[in-house]
Parts: sequence; structure tokens; C-alpha cells
Amino acid sequence: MNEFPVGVSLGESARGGAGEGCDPVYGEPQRAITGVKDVLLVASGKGGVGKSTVTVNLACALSEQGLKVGIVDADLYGPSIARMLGTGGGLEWNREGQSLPAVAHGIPAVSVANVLPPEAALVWKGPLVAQAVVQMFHQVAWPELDLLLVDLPPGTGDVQLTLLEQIPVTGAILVSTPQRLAMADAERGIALFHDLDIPVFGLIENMHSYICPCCGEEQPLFPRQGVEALARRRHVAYLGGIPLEPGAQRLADEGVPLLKGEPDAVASRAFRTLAGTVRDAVEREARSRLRDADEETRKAHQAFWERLMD
Amino acid sequence: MSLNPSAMSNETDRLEGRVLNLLQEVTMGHDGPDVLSSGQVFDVVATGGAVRVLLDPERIPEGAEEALAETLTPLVESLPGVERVVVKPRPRPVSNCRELPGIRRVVGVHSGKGGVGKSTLAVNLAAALAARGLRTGLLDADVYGPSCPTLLGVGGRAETTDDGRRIRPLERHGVRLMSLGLLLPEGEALIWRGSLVDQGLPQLFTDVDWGELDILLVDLPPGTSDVHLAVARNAPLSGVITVTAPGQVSVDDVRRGLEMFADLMVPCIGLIENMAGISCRHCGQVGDLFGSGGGRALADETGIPLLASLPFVPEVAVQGDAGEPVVISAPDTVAARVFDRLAAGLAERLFREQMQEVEA
Repeated sequence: MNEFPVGVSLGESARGGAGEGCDPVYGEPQRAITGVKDVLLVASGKGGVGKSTVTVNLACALSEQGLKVGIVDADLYGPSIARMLGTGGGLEWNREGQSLPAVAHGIPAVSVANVLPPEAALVWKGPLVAQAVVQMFHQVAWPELDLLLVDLPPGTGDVQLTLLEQIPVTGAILVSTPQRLAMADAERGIALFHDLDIPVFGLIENMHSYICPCCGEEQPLFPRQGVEALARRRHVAYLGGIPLEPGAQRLADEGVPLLKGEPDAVASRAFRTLAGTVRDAVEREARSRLRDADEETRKAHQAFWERLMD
Repeated sequence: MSLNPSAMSNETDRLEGRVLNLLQEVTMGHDGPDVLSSGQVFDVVATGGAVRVLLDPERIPEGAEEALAETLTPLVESLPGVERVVVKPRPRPVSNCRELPGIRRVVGVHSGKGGVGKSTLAVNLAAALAARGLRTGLLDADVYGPSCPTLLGVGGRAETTDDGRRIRPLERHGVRLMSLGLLLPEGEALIWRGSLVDQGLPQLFTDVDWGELDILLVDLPPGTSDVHLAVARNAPLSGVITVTAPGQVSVDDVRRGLEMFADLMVPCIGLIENMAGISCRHCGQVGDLFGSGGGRALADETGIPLLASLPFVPEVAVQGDAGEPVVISAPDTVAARVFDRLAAGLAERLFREQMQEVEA
């Protein structure tokens, strides 16, 4: 993986050249990831809505419930997972030359921050991004995992496209704050997933309120504009609201997920509920995939629909 | 003078200052001038413990560059507080555009991290500048999540000029706005491959009928991406204003952004720490939302001035969603006054620069 830290490339090499045809990594679509059962994307349209925080805490909650969970930090332009889990430094390598994920709080994780110094300015062009993203999945010796969470960068850019083209994705959840702006961007995100036929398991309302550490008063941070209404309008599940915990940032800066640092906080409890819902959705999706894979069930299913049509 | 004036300040306790002091004692020959006053070292940039020494190849005898780098690296590494040293040739300005017709100054608003209030700042700053009588434009270059139209209260689609050759910006609160949000239907995913950014972005500068502008603010997307490179190439950026939240997670990302702009030879005008605390509406106790002190610490480390530290004010978000920037709708609030002071500082700076140009 050492080959992709590329500094600012100026001049001819940086101009254009991001087309699909010229890129060899596009040749091999959707190869399964060794050892990994399901891949779940955590996405948001807008940045800074707490996607990484949700990813880390959701992973902790799922692993509390007995699932084996890993994290890929695909946010190449602002990787925060390593800081939040407290896994600084580089990755180790095994004898086959694959990198081993860094493990913290029982969660194996690979992040760009693991392989790049924090001050390295990343100005990556399309094909390089594609290569780096795919490497994080295929050239890492993942242990047996039930679920691999992918922390996507905000927006709908190169990284998302490459991932959706190349990695077999089970589904996605979206994070939004109750701001009109964040919701408009989340709606774009849902549209993207729907366009590409990727199941959206639901929408999480983050930073839904602020609880004063002194008197316990709960006050909204943003105008309540109804993330729930957006979920209904777009026919996706509303996965609940998570309040902003003032202590969470300090813990995150020190590499301790809220769920571990303050297991009884309101937000921690919300993450546990969320984990249960996500788990059910992933299992349901797996069952339906199994059904689709079985020749006879599919035939029966088809026959049923044809009868209905007649 | 090739040295960054801010690096010449007397604060020797700052890392940059200490490196400069050290370099003053290094000479290339036996009795030549030191590497600093000869201009062989163009600049020193320290972000955190990482120090970059930028050499000016034109002032170094042919072939001696490598030897100089090999001498300087261990020397600088030996200073306490230095974690990593990179010695490399100075970057060249990447802009292939010296000026945009009719536009006097272009200033970027940037943050390494998303959701720290970049667009809110850009919109309020633009409205405050316009209220001070400056002809102000705002270009929303956040191609994946354009927010400025909502924040400024501009809806609908942009239309072409009468001759059909250029796009007319929409105007509100005295600010001329152009954004991809005005060119696309709402709720649709915008998928721009990097190559499209290279083609589409320059058009937002050249094919928009901006008219005469004193200042064009560019609201950049978060992170360090193709878009930043394209903006730096296609517009003569006088500098960027960098917004950060107080937490380390945000400061990490912002550092990357600062490094990138240093490499692109775009100066950082100042830092703004946003979302620094919130006061409880019930008991008034001020609590941290996203940690504390990160902006101050970053300013101390890098020597970039901290222009303001703003608390989280729910009112600002409410007014933003409603399309009424607080500088216009609630000018007496604390937040509005801070934005206005920033605008005043920026206006004065631009005026001063213009005077200097006239004198020169």
C-alpha cells in the first residue's frame, strides 16, 4: 500500500485522465472480499454530520451484541476513524504482503490515516482514488467478519462511485442532521443509492438535540424540519434520533468511542437500539439474497407473480 | 523579499521561529551569506511537529541542492518539538490565470472538515461585505453539496444573459451568487468524476456574468480534492480563510487543508474557530459541543492568526435554513457582530493591498 501516498501532482500528470476506460481497476467488478459476509455503507450527503462517530459507535454496539465487525475508513479527504478509535501509526504486514488491520476496542479497522502522515495534503485524482479504495478492501487480511462498515466521504463523488461499482455492497444507511441543508444532501444520497439499486436500510437523525451537562435540559440545535418526513417521502426507514453528547468529542479526540467511555449516556443507549435495527435489516437482506440464489424458490416466486398478473 | 513576513516575527518559542533562527547560522560556502539571507531557503512552514523547508532552486548552485537538503534535514530534526522534516524545492504558483476580468479580488473559504460552518460563514461574510458597500460575488464551489442558495434564500434556476452566451448570477442581499445548486434540479445526485470537475469548474468563473466585483468569495468543498486544485488553477486566489471546529478530529483535517494550500502557494489569511461551545437556554451554562481550544492551539502552532472564535448559536442555523443570513436579519446578535467585524477586517486588508499596488 505504500505506493499510493501521492503528494500534490501538478502539471501534465494531474490534468484529466480520470476517465473510466483508461483505468485497469475497473476491469474486475464486485469481487467478494475474503472473510467478509456483509458490507454496510455509512453515508451522508453533507459533511460533519457525524458519519464517522455513528460508524464507530455502531460498530461497538454491534460487537457488544456478538457480531464480528470491522471498519474501512474510505473518507480519503478527511479520515477520522483512526483518531476516534485511537489506532495511530502504521499497519503491520503479514507474510503474504497483505496489511493487517489495526485493532482497537475489539474492532479491526483500516483507514487512510493508518498509512499516511496526518499532515500530508491529499490531492488525489480519480484513478488514484479508485485504486486506493479497492486496495483497502482486497489487499488487507481481514479476519472472519459478519459485517464490514464503510465510512464514506460526504457527497457523491469518485470514491462512492468506485465503491459501488467494485465492492459487493449489502446495503447503506444515511446520516443526517435536522438541518434543511443536510437533509437536502441526504436526499441526493438516497437518490444515488436508489438509482444504483442498493438497499437503503434507513436514515439516522444525528445531533438531534443537545443535553446540558449541568441541568439536563434538552434543547434542539437545529430547527426541527423533520428528518422523519424525509424518510417517509423517500420510502426509507427512520432509524431514530441521536442527541449530541458534549463529552463525545473529547472522548473521540482521545480515541475512546462514546459507547465505551460513557456506556450509560443517552446517545450510547440510542446507538444500541440502532445496532439492533441495523442487524435485523442486514439479516433480512441476507435471507432475501439466499432466496434469490435458490433456483426453486425463485421459480416459485416468479410463478406466484405470474399467477397474480393473470 | 521572498520570506513570508509572518515567519519573521520575534516569537522564538514558535517552532517556525526556532527553525529560522537555526538556519541563520547555516552557510553554503565558508564565508558566504547564510542560507536565509541569500534566499536559498525560500520559506519554512511548520504545521504541528512537521516542518517543511522550501528551497529556491534558482538561488542554489547547480547540483548543490541535494547536498543542502542532506545537511539541513538532520540539523532541523535535532530541534526539540520537530517530528518530521521535509526539505524540498519551493512550489510554484499553479494559477494559470492572473486575473479575472472585472474581478478585483478572489478569496476562498475553506475547511478540511465538512459541516463546520464554512458556507454559513461565507454567506454571512458576503452579505456583510455587500452591506459595507463592496460589490460582492459568492461562488459556491461545493459541487457535491451546494448550500449557499438555501442559506442566502435564493431559489429557482439561473438563467442565461440576453445574448444567451453567459449565465446570469442571482442576486440577494446585495450578493451576486452562482452555484451548481442553481443549475441542477433539487434532490438529484450530482455525480462528477474528477475529469468533469476539471472541465466544469472553470466555467463557473468565466462563463458567469459577474460584472464588476470588488471581491469574489469562493465557498470551497470540504477536504482536499480535485475541486480545490481546479479553483487554485482557474482563479487568482489572494488567499483562503480557514474554518475549523475546536475538536482534534477537525483540526487534523484542517491541517491537511493548510498543507495543500501551502503547496499550491495560496496564503491562508486566517483561522476561524466555529462551534466553540453552546450556552444552555435553561441554566446558561456553556458546554462544549465539539471539544475546545483546537483553533487557538492550531493558530499558535502555525502562526496563522485566529480571526474569531464563534460559539454555536442555534439562531444562526435557524436563520440559515430560512435563507436569512443573521448579519441582515438580526444584526444586533453576537454572531452577526462577529461576522461584521470579520468583513471589516477583510475589506480593510483588501483596501490596503490595493493601495500598495497603486503605489507600486
